[in-house]
Amino acid sequence: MSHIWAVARHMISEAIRMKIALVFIGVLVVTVPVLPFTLAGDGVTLQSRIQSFLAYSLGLTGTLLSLLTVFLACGALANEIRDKYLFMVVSKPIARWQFVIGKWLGICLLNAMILLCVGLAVWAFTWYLKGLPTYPEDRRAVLNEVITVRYGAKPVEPDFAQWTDARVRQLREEGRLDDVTAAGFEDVRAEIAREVRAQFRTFAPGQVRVFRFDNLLVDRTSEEMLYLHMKPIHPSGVDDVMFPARWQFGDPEDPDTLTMVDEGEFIVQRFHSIPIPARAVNKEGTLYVRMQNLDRQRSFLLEGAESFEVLYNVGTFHWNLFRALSLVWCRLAFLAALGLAASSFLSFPVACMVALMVLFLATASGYLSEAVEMVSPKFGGEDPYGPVLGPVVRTLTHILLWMVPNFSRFDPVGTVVAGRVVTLMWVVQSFISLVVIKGLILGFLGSLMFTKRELAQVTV
Amino acid sequence: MNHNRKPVVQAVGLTKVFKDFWHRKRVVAVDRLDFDIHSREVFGLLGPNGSGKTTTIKMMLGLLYPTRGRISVLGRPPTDVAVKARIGYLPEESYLYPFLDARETLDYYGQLFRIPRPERRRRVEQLLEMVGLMREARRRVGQYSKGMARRIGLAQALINDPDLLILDEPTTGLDPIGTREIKDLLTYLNLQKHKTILLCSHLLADVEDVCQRVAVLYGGRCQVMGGMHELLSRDDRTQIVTDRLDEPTLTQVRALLADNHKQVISVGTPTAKLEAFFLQTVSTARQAFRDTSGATSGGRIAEFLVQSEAPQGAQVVESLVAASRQEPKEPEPGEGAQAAAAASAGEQPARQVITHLVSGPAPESAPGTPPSPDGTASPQEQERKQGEEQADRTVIDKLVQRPDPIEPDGRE
Repeated sequence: MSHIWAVARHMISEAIRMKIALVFIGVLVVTVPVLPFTLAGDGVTLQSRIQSFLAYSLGLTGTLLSLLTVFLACGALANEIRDKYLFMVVSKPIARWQFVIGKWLGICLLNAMILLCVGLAVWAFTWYLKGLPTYPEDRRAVLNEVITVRYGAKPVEPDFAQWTDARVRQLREEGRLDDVTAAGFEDVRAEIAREVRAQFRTFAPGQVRVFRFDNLLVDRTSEEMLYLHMKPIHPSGVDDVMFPARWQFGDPEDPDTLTMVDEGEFIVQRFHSIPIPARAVNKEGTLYVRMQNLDRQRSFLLEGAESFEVLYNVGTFHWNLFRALSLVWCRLAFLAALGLAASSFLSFPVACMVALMVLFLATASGYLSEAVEMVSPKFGGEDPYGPVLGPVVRTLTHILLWMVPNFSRFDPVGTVVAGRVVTLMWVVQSFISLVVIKGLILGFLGSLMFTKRELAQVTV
Repeated sequence: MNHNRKPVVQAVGLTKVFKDFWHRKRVVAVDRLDFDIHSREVFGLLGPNGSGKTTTIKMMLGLLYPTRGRISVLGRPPTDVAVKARIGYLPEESYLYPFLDARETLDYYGQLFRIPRPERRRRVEQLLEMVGLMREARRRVGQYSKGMARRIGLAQALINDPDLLILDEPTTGLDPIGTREIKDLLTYLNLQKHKTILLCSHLLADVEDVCQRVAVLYGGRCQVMGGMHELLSRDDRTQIVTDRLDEPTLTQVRALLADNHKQVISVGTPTAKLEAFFLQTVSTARQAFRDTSGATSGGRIAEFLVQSEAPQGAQVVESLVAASRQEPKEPEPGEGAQAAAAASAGEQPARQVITHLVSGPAPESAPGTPPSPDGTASPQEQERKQGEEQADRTVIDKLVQRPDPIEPDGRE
C-alpha cells in the first residue's frame, strides 16, 4: 500500500510542479473572489446576486476541474510511457495496476484538496454577500430560499394507472376508440395517461383539490415553518392574470393538528411561498393541503414536478455545499478513471480527445437519449434508419449512453442555488454509480490494457 | 543464495520480432538467443548499436514481451512483480522526472521498493554521497547534466541493494573519472558483495575491465560467448616483461630462443592505456592547481586536448576541468560555473567513498589517485592474476604493441 501512496503523492507533486494544476488553481483563485463583486444577478436583489455567484463559481469550478482532470489523467500514463519514466518504475516491485490506482488516487486527492479550498472560498464569500445591506423582503428571500437547505416534498400521487384505465373504458364506451388500431392503442393510452396526470394538477373554475404530503420529517413542537411552494400557470400561457385561491392546511378531523384557512391571489408564472406552521403536520408526518380555485371562469394548473411542493429545512448550508462538492468530486473521479483508461493505450493528445468527447457526451447525455428516443419508430411507424440499420444504431447508442453517465443527473449546482438539499443518498448513489461501478470498470480495463501493453515498443 | 547450478538469468530461444501496425514482420531484433548468467558473475552483453542488447534487457524486465522463447530472472518470469525487489536497473538513459530533485528522486524509487522511511533516508544520503551529488541534491534533476543524471540513475539502481544489477550502458555520458569510479564500484560490488551484474555496453574497455564472461551479439544473434580469459588468451604465445634491454642483450635473447627453435615476434616499449594516462594527468593537474590556487592557460589546453580524445562525456570533462580551476570560495555565476560546482562537488567525496570501498584488498591509493598505468590496481584484475597462471593479456598486447588482440593473425 505504501508504494501506491508514493505514486499518488508523486502524481500530486507532478501536477503542481509541472504547473498544470497551478494554472487551473490560479484561474480559480482569481475568479472565485472576483465573481461576488462583478456578478450583480438581476441587478436588484441580493438573492439573485448570491444565486448567480453560487451558480457561476460552482459551475466554473466543476468545468475547470473536469478539464484539469482530463489533462492530468491522460498525461499520467501516456506521458510516462512517452518519456520512458516508466522504464524505471516498471523495474521496481510495483504491479502496473497498482501504479494505475496510485495515479488515480493522486488525481482524486488533488481534486479533493482543490474542491475543499474552493468550497471554503465559496462559503466565505457567500457569507460575506449575505451580510450586505438590503431591504427586509430580499433578506428574507436570501435566508429562506438561498442560504438554506430545504427538502421539497411532492404530493402523493394517486394511482394514475387506475385513472387511466377508467378513462380508457369511458372513451371506449363512448365509441371514441373504435378507429384506433391495436398497434396504435398503446400510443393512445400513453397520451391518455399524460392527460390524466395533468388533470391531477389542474384546477377547473371553483374546483377543490386535496393533496397529501407524506413522511415530512419535521419537529412538530418547534416554531419552524414549512413552505408551500407553487407556481400556477394559465393554460393559455398568459402571464398577467391572478390565480385567486383559498387554501387550508392541517386536518380538521384531527384535533392534534393545527388547522388554518386563508386565501389570496397569486400572479401566474411565478413561484410563491406560503408559510405553514409545523404543527399543521400530523403525528404520522402527513400534511393535507386543500386548495380551491376561486376564479369562476378560468382554469389554472401546476405544471412540472417542482411547481407544487412543501419545502422544509433539513440542514445547514455548509454541509449542503460539502455534499454538493462531493458530488462534483464523484464526477471528477469518474473522469480520472476514464482519462487513465484512455491513456493506458493511447497517446496524450488522442487520449485527451477521447476523454473530452466522453465528457461532452456525458454533459449532453440527457439530450442524446431524448434524441435517440425521437428517432426510434413508435409502434409500427417507419424506422428512419431502415429496418436493418435502425436497431443496430439504436443498440449501439444505448450501450454508449449506458457507459457514458448522464452528468446532468449528478449536477448539484442548480440544487444548491435553489437552496435545496443535496441528499446524502444522492451522493452515495453517485459514488456507487460513477466511482464504484463505472470507475471500477474503466480502471479494470485500463489496468488490463496497461499490463498487456509492451511499454518499450520501439524498433531497434 | 543460489550457486553455480542455478542461473540468475536464463534465456532460452529468446526471440523478439517487431511488427508494424498491420502485424507484418518488420525487424527481428533478437533471434533465438540462449544464454545463462550465473550467480556472482559480471556478464557482459556486447554488440554494436542495434544488435539487440537493449531489447534483450527490456524483455528481462518485462518492458517487452518475447515473441518466442522465454527468459527467466531469478527463477521467475519477468512479469513477476515480487522478483523486481531484488533487481537494480539502470536504463540506457536515465529517465528521471525533471521536476524532482535528486533526493526526492531516490526517495520515490525507495518508496516503490517499500523501504521503511528511516532506512530509506539513510540509503538516500549514502547514495548521494557516493555518486557525489550531495551538494546538488536540492537541484531539480531536469537541470542536471547527462553525467549527473547518470550518477543519479546508478544511485537509484542501487537503492534496494539488489542481488542482480542490470546496467545498460552505465558509463555513457560520464567522464573517464566517473567511468573509472563506476567500474571500480561494480568490481567492488561483484567481488565483495557477490552481486550478479549484467553489463550491457558497446564500450569495449568497460566490458573488458569488469566482466568475467561476455556474449557478443550481432543482428540479434549471439555470435560468441564465453569467459573473458578463454576468449582473449593466446596459448601459442608467451610474453616476458623485463627492464629495458639494450641491443646486445636482445641479440643474446634472440640467439637463445633460436637455439630452442623459437623466434621473437616483436620487441617494443610498453605504453600506458589512455584511460590510465588521462586519470594520471588529471590528478597531477588538479594537485598543481590546488598548490598554485589559480588557473593557467597551459593547463586548460592540455586538459581540453585530453578531453577531445575521449568522445564520451565531453561536456562533463569540460566542467570537471573548469571545476579544478575554480576558486572554491568564489563561484562564478552562469551555467558553466554551476556545472563546475557540480563536478567539483561530485568528485572528491565520490572518489573517497569508492576508494574506501575498493581499498580493502587492493593496495592503498590516495583519493584522486588513479589506478597505476598498467591497469593492474583494480581488485578485479588482481584476482584475475591470482587465479590465472598465464600472463595477463594486456601485457602481451603491450609487448607486441598490438591494440587489437582479437585478430592477431592479420598482423604477423
